[in-house]
Amino acid sequence: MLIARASVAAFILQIFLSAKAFALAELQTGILPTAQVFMQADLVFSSHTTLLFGSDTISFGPYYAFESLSQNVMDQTYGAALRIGHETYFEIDGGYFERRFAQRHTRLKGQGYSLNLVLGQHFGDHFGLALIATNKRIQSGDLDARTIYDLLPFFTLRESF
Amino acid sequence: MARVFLTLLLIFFSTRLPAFEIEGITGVNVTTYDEASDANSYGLSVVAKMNFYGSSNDSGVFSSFYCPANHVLLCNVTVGYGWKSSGTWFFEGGLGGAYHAGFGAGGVGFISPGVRFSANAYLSFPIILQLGGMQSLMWLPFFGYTF
Repeated sequence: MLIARASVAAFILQIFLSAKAFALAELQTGILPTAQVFMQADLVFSSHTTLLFGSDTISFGPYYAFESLSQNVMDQTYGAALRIGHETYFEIDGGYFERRFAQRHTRLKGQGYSLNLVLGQHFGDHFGLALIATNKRIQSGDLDARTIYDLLPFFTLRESF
Repeated sequence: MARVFLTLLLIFFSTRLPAFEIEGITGVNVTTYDEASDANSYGLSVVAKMNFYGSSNDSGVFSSFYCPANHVLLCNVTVGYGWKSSGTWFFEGGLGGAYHAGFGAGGVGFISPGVRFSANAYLSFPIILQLGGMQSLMWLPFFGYTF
């Protein structure tokens, strides 16, 4: 177990050290927070994070999405992202998707895949906008099988290193 | 009704040509179930606000509408007066009245920090409180454009 952890840590360190070998290494998060009190209180927080390596033309790297869609529903996606372009870009990302539904005496989980098509525009070094079209599919698990489509704008924060 | 509308148009366009701004956010969600098609849901939410201010950092009349996913044909419409500061990071605030066909009339106040990306594009985070009518509190990002 210790060796496994050490090798994961070494792998992550290797990624960060090798980042200098790429023309572009960039950490970016797209965020969409909303809060609403209308009949009931709803807090929605969606985030899509990528760590991309490559050039201004094409870059690739891991992708993670965390979305809290209500006080009961949490979505997570673990996968990879491929981006074409830089200041203005097109990105395709996605991977393994799971949704957890929780109430006081209930814990349910559904699994499947999630796929995003992203159109983005940076403004300066740190801020930008992204329009994300999502297809999520819950295929197995405790939750009913379903297909979900979303189209939402996100604002993005990025840091190159 | 037509007279009220014409009067509002005159107020918007009478004394000066305003710097028109539009800001808001919209989202679509479609969920279809393999074995429970009666539970399928289709949602479209739109929040949009138009500023008819003297310039992009001045004051003036604003108008907004909010059409939530489950009441998309019943929108909450707001008209009021707002103030906006200048700079890359800015503040905006406003007061007005709102009307919703289902919930009735109410008063609205908002305060909003924002950041300007370029001469035209900006992002703001209004906190909108409505008392009476729809009786709601909202906080969400608005994507904006100055024409």
